[in-house]
This record gives sequence, structure tokens and C-alpha cells, in this order.
Amino acid sequence: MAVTIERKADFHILVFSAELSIFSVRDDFDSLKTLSQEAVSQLMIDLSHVQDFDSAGLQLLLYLRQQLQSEQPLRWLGLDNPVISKVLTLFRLDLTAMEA
Amino acid sequence: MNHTDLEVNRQQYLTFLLRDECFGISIDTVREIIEYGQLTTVPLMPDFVKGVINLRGDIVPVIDLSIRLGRNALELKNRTCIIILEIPFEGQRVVIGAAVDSVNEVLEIGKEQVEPPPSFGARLKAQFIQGVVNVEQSFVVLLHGDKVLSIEELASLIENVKPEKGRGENV
Amino acid sequence: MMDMAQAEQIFIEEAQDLLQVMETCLLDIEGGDATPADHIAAIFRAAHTIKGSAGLFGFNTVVGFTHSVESVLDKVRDNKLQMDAVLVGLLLDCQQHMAQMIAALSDPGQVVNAAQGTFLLEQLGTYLQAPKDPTPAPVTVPPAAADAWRIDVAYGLDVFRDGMDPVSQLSYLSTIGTLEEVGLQYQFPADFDPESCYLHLQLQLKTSAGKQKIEDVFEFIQESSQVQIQPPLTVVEQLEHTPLQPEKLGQLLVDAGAVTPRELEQVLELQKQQTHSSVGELLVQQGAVPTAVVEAAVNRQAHQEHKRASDFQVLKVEARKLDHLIKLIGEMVTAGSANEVLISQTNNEQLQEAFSSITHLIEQIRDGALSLRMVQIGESFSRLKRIVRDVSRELGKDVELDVVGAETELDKSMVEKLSDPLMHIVRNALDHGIEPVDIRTYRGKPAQGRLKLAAYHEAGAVVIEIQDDGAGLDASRIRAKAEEKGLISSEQALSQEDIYRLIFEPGFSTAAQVTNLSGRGVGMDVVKRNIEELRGQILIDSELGKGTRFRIRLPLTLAIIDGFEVTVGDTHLVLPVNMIQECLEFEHAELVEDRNYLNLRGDVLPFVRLRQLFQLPQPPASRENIVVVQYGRSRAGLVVDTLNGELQAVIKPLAPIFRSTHGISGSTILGSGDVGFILDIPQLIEYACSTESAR
Repeated sequence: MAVTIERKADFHILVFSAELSIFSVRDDFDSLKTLSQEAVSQLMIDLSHVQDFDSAGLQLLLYLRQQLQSEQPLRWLGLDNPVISKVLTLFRLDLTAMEA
Repeated sequence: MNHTDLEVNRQQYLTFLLRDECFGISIDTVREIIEYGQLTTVPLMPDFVKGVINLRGDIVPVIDLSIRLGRNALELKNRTCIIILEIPFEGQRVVIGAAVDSVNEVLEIGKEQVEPPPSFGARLKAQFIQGVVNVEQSFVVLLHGDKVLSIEELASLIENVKPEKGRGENV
Repeated sequence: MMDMAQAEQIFIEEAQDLLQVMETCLLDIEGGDATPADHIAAIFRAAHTIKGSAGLFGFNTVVGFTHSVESVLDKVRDNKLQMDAVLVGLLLDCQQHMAQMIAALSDPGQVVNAAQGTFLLEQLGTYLQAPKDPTPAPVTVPPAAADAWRIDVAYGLDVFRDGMDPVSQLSYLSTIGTLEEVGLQYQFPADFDPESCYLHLQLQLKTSAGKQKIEDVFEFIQESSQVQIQPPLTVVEQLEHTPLQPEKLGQLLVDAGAVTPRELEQVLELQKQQTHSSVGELLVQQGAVPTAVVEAAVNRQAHQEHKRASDFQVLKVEARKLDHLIKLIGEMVTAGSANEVLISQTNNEQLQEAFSSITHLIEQIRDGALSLRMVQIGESFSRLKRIVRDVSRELGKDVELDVVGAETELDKSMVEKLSDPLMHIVRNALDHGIEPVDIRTYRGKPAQGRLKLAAYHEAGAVVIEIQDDGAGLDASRIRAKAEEKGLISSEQALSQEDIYRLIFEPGFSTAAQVTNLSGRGVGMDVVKRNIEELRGQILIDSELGKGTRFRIRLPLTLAIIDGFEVTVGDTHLVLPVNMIQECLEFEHAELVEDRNYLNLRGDVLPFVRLRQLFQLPQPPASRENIVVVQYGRSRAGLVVDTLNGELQAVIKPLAPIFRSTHGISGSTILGSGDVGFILDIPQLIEYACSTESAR
């Protein structure tokens, strides 16, 4: 299942499913193409449900960060998900920072 | 090390004549004896320097031993010869020739035979004389070769007899 | 196969040579004489080589000390440090300490000042402290760390589709070593395809694993991606210790673990197409090795070749054998002359021509043999440079040293015997000659004193001059001291030069106090004796308040010279050909009045009648000749009887009893077997002038 978009208060939350890998990135990407401009300004990305995470998935997140961050960095949920943190630590990446 | 101080009972001496006087010199310093001839004069030398000779590629100075010992110059005759000696000087052995009237035999002389030099009458500087010995009624004066032919002394003599002093040494 | 002791000995000798290079370069930089960049590179290489080699032998204290020196030099090389006067001074002190340590390796009596060593290390340490960096460095492209592998992977687009995952690769690498730096970069195009891989990974990995193992990690993406694995710089050091065998560059790198066989193969294939590129260049291009490693390998290669070449360039030869050879050659020259005389008496032109080609060969052999024993005096001068620097500092004097003619050659045995006398004279000049700065200024002299060392050839002699612009010799003080010591009496009339020469008397010293630098002035009589042992002469020139000049003349004792023979009466004289300007018939008609001057094409030419000079008894020949000789800027004519042509003269030194002879510097055996005298032209002219003025 691809990423879904939920609404919570003012925020649009991108909720990634358990699969965030080469097998899902195509669909995830297509889903995200429909994000409206309005949604982008108040966006959160929820990674707490991800269970399979690989470089393709990471790449997608990096892409999103690059594309979607504006004045402020993106907001993230579930960065303490061990599946996610393991990879981020390996690559010495801090998603909450502004992309350089 | 002075070879004449060797503690051996018998020493060998080459004896030679200057006119009618007989002298002896330890054979330790004697290298060879050659005929007198083919001398090249060296300019500006005092008369005791007869010249130099080409001794198989070495250029060896020749001293008139008669003049050196205070007598008249040698008269060159066909028996005149040159004794080639090796004299120690500054750690090396320097080759030098002494011209004499004639050379006699080599005598073996025991220490006990050698008497101290007479205090007068020998007409030689005391330090030249090792001693005197009587051999078959003739009187042989044994000489200290390294004193008679002292390189240092000969060099000084040559230096001082030179006509132009005042430029200083070694200029 | 060389044994360890031999190898160690060679290491020590080579280290000493390298230390000499260091010293010379440092002194040059200090003196402002050089383009520092080249010198710094040379100094660094010297220290680096010493360290590496010392390491091979396990001389760990040397390694440790040299490492600090090298580190500081490295910073200078990278322009992170300025080579200022203080640093040069420190490095010179370090060089000296290293020299001590090296000397101690073979000489148990050599003392190494450990406290000095510790002090110097501390000083070096102050240069090595990096400034604190408050902000963490951004993850950009770091240069290869000293001991980390640099891995650069530009993933191909299809990596994900091929089923590969960079995460697992990175994960695996972290198990075989420590990831020092990780940098992930990416370039997303406008038509971003989430299934394509746009990632670029840059890593620094510290690991003991070899390159092959690291490469294996990326085995499956080799085809699709660009993987560069570069070895840490310590491999550079390793390269420098690989055993010396003639090796190709590529093989060298593989052996050192810097390049894998696969990479080398790839490059060699590439080289077939790009034939103008070298293996090294291609390897760097492919990113297989950093430039530094290739450079090190190339240096190593060059070093090997150089070592091979120089193995043949320098031979150690027993001096005794060389002397024997030269003696034989001298005899061959003489025999050749004898033959020449006989052959010239035949009318056989063919024979004469054939023999002249032999003469020509003999000349060449002679020159070659003589040059074997000659070394440049610059070696002795270098040691003096160091002494001048150290001693003048100790004395608190400012002295500049000028060196002229360091390339002047003289016989090797002389160089060795000269070092002591030269050192004594130089120390004397520094100690007593050159005044302290305040006195110099008071006297209106420049604050910096000048000491000049010069060497040049002059007609079969080598002249060495030591000149200072110091206080000069005080003749009246010297005289007073000599009288006090009973060396001369008060009535004795002495020329100024004679008075100067008194300083060579044993036990003489005009120093007001004994200094521990030049001793009790006991050096000077030893100096004179040393020079005389070399059959040389020492002259003193001085002017009170202006300075002093020592001039040492040494014969080229073993010389075989190109000479020109003349006769005066029965005496054969030989002149060095290179001093002869021309030969003329001596016409009395051209004499100026009754003096010994000649009008030579409008110039006044003083002349000397050698017959008169040497007081030769024979009456003058009906026809006389005049040989015009030149020495320095002076010219003179020598009147002789006959001119007999050129010859090769083997110079035999005059017998010691003739040491005071004026005008004659040696003798030789002519082709006829006669003895000829070799004229000392400058001396001759000098002597003749004094005779002339005395008239």
C-alpha cells in the first residue's frame, strides 16, 4: 500500500506504510504527485509504521525533503522507529535539518 | 727511534774515506751505493749541495759529505761515489745521497770496541760522532748518520745561506 | 647478500650525507641564499628518508625524534607554517641532535644529549598544535585521512533495479572497520524516477582489511557504478620500504596494496588505447589511487633507478691502489717522454705520427687518473659555514660568510688534512679578528663583519684565502709579546711581515684571556706545521683596524702538468704552459734604458734574466729568448737561452731540504733522463722584484 495522506488539525500528514522500499517507491511517488500546494505548506511525514526500509526508500525521503521543504525544515514523525534510525545513523543523516 | 741506540753487541758499519780519513756509518740507514755521475746542479745552493740525481725515477739530493764535515770540497775522481741513505724525518724516511771519495768494506764492530770520541782533535762537531774505533791500526770515526744528514739541519742551512733574506721564510 | 652490520653501516653513512644536505639547505635558507621551496622539499625528503630507513633497522629513538621534525617540515611544505629565523634555528639544532644520534649508532663514545633532545621535541611540539576548531567541519569532500581508505561510489541508475542496496554495503563495511566519515550526496533530475538510483556515497574507512576485501563489497555493482577505493597515505610510506628490485610502477602499487590486480589490468588495457598516458596517470585518472601514492611509487622507481645508476657512479676505492696506479701512470708519462725524444731523433715520420697518438692517449689517461683523487674544496668550506654560524652566535657577533671558488679541486688527502688548520684560522678570525658589534659601530665599520673564504688555482698550486674585515694584527703588540716570551730580542730588526709570522711560534698568544674556543692560541703553530706537512706555505697580510688575510698555497703534488721546457746554461727549467703568453727572441735593442723593462708592442714588460737570478755560471748564449708569462693581472718576461718545446712533466716534489727554495716548486725527469726544475712563476716574479729593489 502506498503512502496515504491524512489530515490532523492543520496538518497534512504523509503516512508511509510498512513497506518503504524499492518495491513501494513507484507507487508512493505517484501518490505524492497529487499533493496540493496548500498541503505542502503544513506537512508532516510519519515514518512510525515503516518496517522495511532500504536505500530506495531513503532516496525517496531525501527527494521529498528536497522538493517539499520551504522556509522551514519538514516535520517528521517516528524518527525513533528503529528501522528508520538504524539507516539514518548508518548514513549519518539528520532528516530534520534543512537540506544543505 | 734512533737506530744507533739499538742494544746489540755487534753492529755493522759501512766504512768510507774522505781524503785520508776513515769514517763509518751504520748500515741500517744505507740503501745502496752508486757511482758518482749525472748530477744536476740546483740553483742557488750552498756548496755542500752538489745537486740532484735521477735514481730510477726518484730525484735524490746529493750532499758533499766532506764539506758537511767541515773539510774541503771533494775532488772528483773515478772512485768517487755516492752513498744513498734513508734518514728519518717527520715520520717518514727521506732518501738522500752523500758523496764520498771512496767506499771501503763493511765492518762488524762490537760495542765494547767503540771508544768515546776524543775531546779535541777530531775536528768534528761532537753530536756527529758516535764514537771511535781502532781497526787494524787505523782509526775509524763512527758517525751518527741521522745527525750528519739531519734533514732539518740541512734545510736550515740552505735557508740561511740563501742570499736574499728579509722576505721571510716560506714566502 | 649483505649482512646486517654492513647494511647498518651504509644506513649510517647515507644518513650522515642526508644530514649534511639538511644542514646546507637550512644554512642557505637562513642566509637568504635560496629559493626556499626547493630547499624545504629537499630538507623534508632528507628527514623523511632518514626516518623511514631508521625504522627498518628498529632505531626507534631516531624514528621518534625525526618524526616530529618531519611533521613540522610537512607543515612548512603545505604552507601552514612560515620558515622564519626562529624555526630555521630550531631545525638546525634538531639537525645537530640527529647527527649526534646517528653518530652514536656506530660510536659508543658519542654522547647524545638527551635533555637537549627532550627540549627540542617540546619546541617542535609547539609548532604542531593545531588551532581548536569550534564548528564541526561540514561533510564535504575530505582529503584522504592519514590512515583511512577513501571510498567513493557513484552508484549507477540501475543499482536498485539490479537488486542492490547501498545500505547493506555500508552496513557490511562497518563490520570490517570503522567508518570515520560518511557522506551521501545525490543529484535528482527533473524527471526523477524513484526506482533509479541517484546516490553518491563517499566514505572514509579505517580498516586493516586489504583493498581486495573492500573491493569485494562492491563486486556486484562494479559493472553499473563507479567505485573508487583509494588506499590510505600510510601506504605511501610502505611503498618507500618495499625492497629494491627493478619493478614496474603498476606492480609496485599492487605489491604495496594500493592497487588491485584487476585495476591494474584495466588500466593496462586502457593504456593500449591511450598509449601516451603512463600507467600512473591512468591509475590516478581512474581514481584507483590518489596522486600522492603514485608520486611515491614514481619516486621509489626513480630512486631505484637512481640507486642503480649511482651504484655505478660512486665506487669506494682503496687509496693505496689508486696511488699505485697514479705512480705507474707517472712513470708511463716519463717513459713516454723518453721515447718521444728518441723517436724525434729518427727521421721516421710514420713512427713519429704513430707515437703522437700514444702520447695523446697517455695525456687522457693521466688526466683521468689524476681527477680520481681530486675533490672539491667546497666540502671543507661547508663544515666551516656551520662553525662560523655557531661560533659567531656564541660570541654575540654578527658575521657574514662569503665563499668563493668552492668548486676548486684539490687532492683528496689534502682536503682531509686541511680541515683542522682552516678551522683554527676561522675560529681565530671570529674570536680575535672580528670585533663585537658595538666596537665595530664605534669605529665606523658596518655592524656585520665579513669573513671570506676563497679558493683558486694558480700555476700548479691551489690557493686558499681566509680574509676578515676585523681588527687586523697589531704588530707592536705582537712584537712586545714576543720579546716578553724571549722569542726575539729587543734589538732584533724585523720587517712587519716577520713580526706577523711570530704568531706561528709555538706557545705564542696575544689573546688577553684564554678563550675556550680557540684555546690558548696554540692553534697557529700547529696550523703552520700542518700546512708545511702538505708542502704548502702560509702567508699573512694585515692592516691594523682593517682586517687580516691568510693565504695558504698548496702544491698539486701529484700533478702531471703540461709544461714548456727551456734551458738556461746547463739548467733545464719547466714552466706551466697555461701561464705562458708568448715567446719572443730577446733583442737587446728594445730595452728601455738600462733597466729590466721591455717595450712589448707599446706596453712595458718587466723581465728577469734567469741566468742572473739563479746565478748560473755559464756565459750567456749568443741568442737569448724571452718567455712572457702571466699570473693574475701581472705579466713579466723570463729571459732564457733556448726554448725546447712542450712536454708532460710528472712533478716530483722537491726534497725536504729544499723546502725554502724560491722560484722553484718541484722537479721532474725529462725525456732525456735529465732533471728539470719546475718554476713557480708567481714566487719567481716576487723574488725577482725584491732583488731588483734591493739593488
